Amino acid sequence: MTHAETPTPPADLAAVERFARAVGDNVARVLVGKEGVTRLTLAGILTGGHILLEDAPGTGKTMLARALAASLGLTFRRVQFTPDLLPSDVTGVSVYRPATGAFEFVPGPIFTGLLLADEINRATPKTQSALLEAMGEGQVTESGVTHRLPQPFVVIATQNPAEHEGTYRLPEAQLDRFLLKLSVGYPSLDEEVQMLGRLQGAHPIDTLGPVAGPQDLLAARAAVKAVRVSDELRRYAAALTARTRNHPQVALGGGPRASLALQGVAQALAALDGRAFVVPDDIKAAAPAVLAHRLSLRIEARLAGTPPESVVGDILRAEPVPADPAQAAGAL
Amino acid sequence: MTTLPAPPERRPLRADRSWLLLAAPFVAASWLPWWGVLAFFGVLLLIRRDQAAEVVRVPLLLAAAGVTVLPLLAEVQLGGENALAAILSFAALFLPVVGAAAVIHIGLNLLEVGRPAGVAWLALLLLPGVLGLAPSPVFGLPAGLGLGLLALLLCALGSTGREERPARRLTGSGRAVWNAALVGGVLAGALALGTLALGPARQTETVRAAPGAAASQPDAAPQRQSEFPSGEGEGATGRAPAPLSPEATAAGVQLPGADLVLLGGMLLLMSVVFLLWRLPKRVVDGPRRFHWWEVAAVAGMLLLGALLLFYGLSAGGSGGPSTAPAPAGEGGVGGAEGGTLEEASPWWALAFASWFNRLAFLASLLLTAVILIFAWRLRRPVGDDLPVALPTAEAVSAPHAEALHRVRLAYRSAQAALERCGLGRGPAETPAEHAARASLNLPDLAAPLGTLVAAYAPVRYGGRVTDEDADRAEEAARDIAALSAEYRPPTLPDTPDSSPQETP
Repeated sequence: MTHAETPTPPADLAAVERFARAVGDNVARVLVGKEGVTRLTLAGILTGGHILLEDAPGTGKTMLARALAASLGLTFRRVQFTPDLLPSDVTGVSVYRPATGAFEFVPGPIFTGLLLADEINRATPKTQSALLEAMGEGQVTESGVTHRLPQPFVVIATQNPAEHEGTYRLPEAQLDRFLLKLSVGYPSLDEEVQMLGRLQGAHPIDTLGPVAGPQDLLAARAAVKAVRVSDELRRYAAALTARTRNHPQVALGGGPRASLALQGVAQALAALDGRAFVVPDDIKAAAPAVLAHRLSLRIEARLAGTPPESVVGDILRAEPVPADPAQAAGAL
Repeated sequence: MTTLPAPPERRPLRADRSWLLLAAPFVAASWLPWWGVLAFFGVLLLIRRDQAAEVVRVPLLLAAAGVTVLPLLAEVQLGGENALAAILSFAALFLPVVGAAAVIHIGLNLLEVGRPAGVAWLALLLLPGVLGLAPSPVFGLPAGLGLGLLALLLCALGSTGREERPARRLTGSGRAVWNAALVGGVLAGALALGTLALGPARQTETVRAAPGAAASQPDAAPQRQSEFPSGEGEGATGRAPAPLSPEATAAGVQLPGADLVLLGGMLLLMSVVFLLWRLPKRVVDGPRRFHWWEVAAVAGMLLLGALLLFYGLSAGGSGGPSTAPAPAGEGGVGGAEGGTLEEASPWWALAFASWFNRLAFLASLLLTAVILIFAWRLRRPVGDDLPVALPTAEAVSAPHAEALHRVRLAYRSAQAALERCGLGRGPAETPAEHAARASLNLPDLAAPLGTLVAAYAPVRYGGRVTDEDADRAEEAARDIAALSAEYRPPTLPDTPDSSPQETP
């Protein structure tokens, strides 16, 4: 697209900004001091992706998912992933109806607007992989029949980084399906005190109403796709991903899907600010959440306790940002 | 650092140092005729006023080259008895002028992006005058060289860096640049090859085949003095080729005109294709009114194509100049009368011819290299499939382009000021991150830097700005410059090791 098509933030982008502010404020009634993670989660949802929340128990992962589902007016279902969970428990199963003499598909909990896959790493890889098709193509195939999932469809999965007993590490293919991996983090002391006061009585999640509907979300997603990304910033995003493949501490870096995710989330972050164009800050803000979980570190780095986020930080500090005014004019 | 203009009144033409680059054609004042200097100057001036014409600067400069050599066309046409000499004189000017157009373009390109190598390129324009290779100017050699050196100095001062350059990408589509440069490059190459094909060595061989034929008309028509204005003697500059005896020419002084006719025809065809391709595109895509520079570029190419066609026809075509009788050698030109060409021409005339041949060959190689360089440099930034970093001419009004350019200038100016006080942007820092870091060091910078970065982001990454935004950006840049001038980075206290030791 050209500049002429987006001379000023169009009306739908202004609507996206209002939509995001309303959702953020609504979620903030439940979660105190988590504006950053809420914003990134919302950006992931606006990009049409799925989010993996990894943090210690009790930090608000489930609450964030519930608050977002309530704010966006999405049907919410929660699946507690356990080792004995079967794929059909998630996707659904065909049952024989003697009355009709035919098999009838009974949709599983995945047929919802927002699915909370709680402690996803407790399920077996087989069950985890049952989500691949749903997350990638928005459909479920059972007994040779494909069933489309309702749109919008969002998966928010959680996992506990500290407890590894009885867990199955998510395979790379599954991790790659998650657009973002976020950490909610502990609140500060003041925020925790504020939260205590707010939750002393009835929990606000019980009364949290929608501030937008599924159609608003779909419209916002369409508007996000129209946000301009300059060719230089595309190159910058691709260069960041490419650096993950060449980093000495990385055994397996991000693929093209990571670049696509980086661009998409950057577009969403720009739209959340009401901007019709992406700036490098959007890409930088998105990069840790987009890239870190896609990196497979070398054994030396893992033994040294190097977190993938620090590798992404190194890359962000090394890759030059296209910001020189001279480059804009080009050279003939 | 560039002095920013006063913001309140908006001026259509901004007086900055880049205007000094208009002096480029005067570097060639030692050999280029005065109307040639003015033609090049006029083209640059018009481009400076209408920056959209930057995309076809090569064809426009070639058009100026055509205007420069046009007066010699009449001389060739009216040459009659000495048309061959006029043709060679025409060729002697043709190639250097076309080369000058290319050198001016390259030199200005480099200077506009702040590269001092552009001065070296423009200095090449002094060489024909110093070496006496081309017709001398009306100014005279010493005055011309002096003027050329002065112009070169002005051009060096006019190299103010990339951001003072007129924002070419603002106003031209990639395809237009490709079209114009491709046609202009092919034209320059064809001209060089055409001049190379003149082949003085072949003349010599042909004339040698008719020895002793020159004396039959000793009192042939006197050699016409070149109508080209001259401040120097022809012998001194060596521009007038040796006259040929009538027998020698009648015996077959054949110039390879057929090749030139073919080349000229190809050029005319390409010009027509360009005409048919480019102009309807504007009819469909753009405003109905044609830009003057589009018409001028096409006209310039047609002119040069026609010139080359005429040149080819006259030089080796159907008779005409080939029957020109040779005058007696006189003055600084003829060293002997009658006989073969070697006898009729002084030795240096033959050497000039051979040397000219070699020069033409080298020049054609140079022009080919220039064309390849053009093609390589054009390959990278342009292309209709790529999103152009800044709006196209059709999409953006001139005031908007001006506002974009002003914001970029302001940002660059502020960057320079911050770098001077040690608060420059790191390569991996975004403008916003840089602003935040600089504001930590100097909190007063926060407000103007915030304003400037807010205005700069859409300019750099795809939005639009208004004149008011540009005004605010310039004001912020001035504030930043003033604040950073007073800023002194904190210095570490002297340690005992680092303190100078007292001498006993």
